[in-house]
Amino acid sequence: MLLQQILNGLTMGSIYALVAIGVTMIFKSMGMLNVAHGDTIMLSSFIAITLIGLGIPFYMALILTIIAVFLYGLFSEKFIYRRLNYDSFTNLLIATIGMSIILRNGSIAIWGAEPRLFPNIFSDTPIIINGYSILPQNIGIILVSLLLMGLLQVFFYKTKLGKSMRAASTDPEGASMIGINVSLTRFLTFGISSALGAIAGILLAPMFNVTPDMGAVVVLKGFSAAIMGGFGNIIGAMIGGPILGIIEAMSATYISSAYRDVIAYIVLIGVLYFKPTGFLGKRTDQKL
Amino acid sequence: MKNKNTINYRHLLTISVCILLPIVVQNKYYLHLFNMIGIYSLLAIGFNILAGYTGQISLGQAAFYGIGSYAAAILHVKFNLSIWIVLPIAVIITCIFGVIIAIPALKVKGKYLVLLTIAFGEITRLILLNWVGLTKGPAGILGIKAPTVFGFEIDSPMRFFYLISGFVILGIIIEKKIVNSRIGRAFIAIREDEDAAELIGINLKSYKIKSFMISAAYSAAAGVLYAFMVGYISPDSFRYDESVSILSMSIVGGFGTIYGPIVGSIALNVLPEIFRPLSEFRMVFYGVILIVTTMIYPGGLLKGFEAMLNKFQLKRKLKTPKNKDNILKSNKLY
Repeated sequence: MLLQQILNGLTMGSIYALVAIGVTMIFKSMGMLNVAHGDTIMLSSFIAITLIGLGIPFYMALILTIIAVFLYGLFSEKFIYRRLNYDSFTNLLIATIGMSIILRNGSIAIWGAEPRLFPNIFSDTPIIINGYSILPQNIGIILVSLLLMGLLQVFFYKTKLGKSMRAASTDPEGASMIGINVSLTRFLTFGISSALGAIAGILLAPMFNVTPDMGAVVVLKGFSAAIMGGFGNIIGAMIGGPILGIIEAMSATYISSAYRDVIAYIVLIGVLYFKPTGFLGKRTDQKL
Repeated sequence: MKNKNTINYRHLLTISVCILLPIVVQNKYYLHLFNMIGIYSLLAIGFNILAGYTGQISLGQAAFYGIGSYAAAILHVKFNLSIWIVLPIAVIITCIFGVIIAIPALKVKGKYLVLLTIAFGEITRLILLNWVGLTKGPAGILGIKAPTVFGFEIDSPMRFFYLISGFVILGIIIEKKIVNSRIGRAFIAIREDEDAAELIGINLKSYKIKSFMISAAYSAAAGVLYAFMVGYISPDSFRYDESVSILSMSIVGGFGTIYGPIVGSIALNVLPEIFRPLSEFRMVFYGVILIVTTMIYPGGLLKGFEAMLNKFQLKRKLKTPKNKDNILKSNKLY
């Protein structure tokens, strides 16, 4: 039973990690809290369902969805957020709030508020090991997450584009002085972040019904995970996700299912109070 | 010399509008809308003092709103106490929670504070939802009776309009007094540069806690009024979305100004109604307007209007707050 709970925790945690990476990227790069990220997740689920409904082959539909949401990310950076010059935290917050409202209500208007089912990506038959029954879904999500995180690490640390994006995030002025097109990196950051959101959405959708509100809670958990790992730190996000997932699973089993989220939030407040730099404890240059 | 607190023609105009409005507009739906504008104005002022003046951005105001509302409702229903008794008690209880959240909030800034307050808001909502013994859980609390003022029973939207307007006007007067006083200046100093404020002797902890308490008080008052107006409350009215709305109203109306919250409350409550003909897409347009407004009027609508009026050379003496907060353009909080 315990192992089962840990597995569930790791599964949800992997999704939280993907969401956390998405919001951390944007926060590091542009100093903004993208509260619309959850709605990006929701949007991708709906797009995927629509494409599948049109008869497009399953995996093709998923890929098209990711591309579509990637483009959406690019679009929103170029035409909306860029216009605000990234200088006012509160105005950027309002812009993301506006975006979130547009996405959520647009989805209700286009697709209706009724929950929809999303087909399983992985097979349904449980794998039996040692008497434990494991859903392929759990393994699948964890593996996909690990794969993606690995790819991101390679991208950010080994490729020229990735390195310049990191440079631009850390020090936009310095980066532009050595010839990095900071504007372009921000553009791509948004696109990649949204694409990660799309993948998170696709992984999340089969487990829960797809509704226009599905993004709201997930994005808060994603933020929590990002903070637990040390906000502003991609690796922290990767670690914070599973930590949050396991804490949640443990709380639900051993304390109370209803108060599961409360405990997660209390842990978050605790982390902010005692170790604001997160479990990873990296020193940042700004006072918290 | 004209005291900034003397009653001038603008005050008289506003008061006359408040008195005449429910007589002119008999439509109950619109009156209810005005009442909600009033309640949101109080919430927005509360947020504005905490965030606009002290720089502590909070996305958890719904928690204070809910605590005030539930405290009043529970006391009223269980002990049959009138609104005038439960109101101060609810405010005090909510202020205590204000202090509780202020303590961890003292240690964090900027986006970390935002997330802290989101967490607080969610914890509160979940407790309201799950502590069925105290709050009746998702079912909510029914049977909140109409309050009486000087023998008048407040049981119609029109009468609530007068009651709520009274509170809003009182709220604005108190806000003005705070902003123009030593406390207000301390708040602004904290917003602009905490380290410098500390260096000149401002006790950050003390003033931040006070700011949270004032914000909690306003939100609690709004919550109590809401409970008695609608007669029924449930955790659904105090979700994260409400905190988002409150933040939006304050920022869009005019961040860090006295009347900004009112303007914002009016604008963001009227807007969905204007867009009603668009049926399903009305909120989409609401979101678009929100984004467009923040692009065109980064300082908020109030400052935008002032700029426009100056441009057209209309020499109306717009009441710009005397304490220079409208020339401080920086909103940088991190």
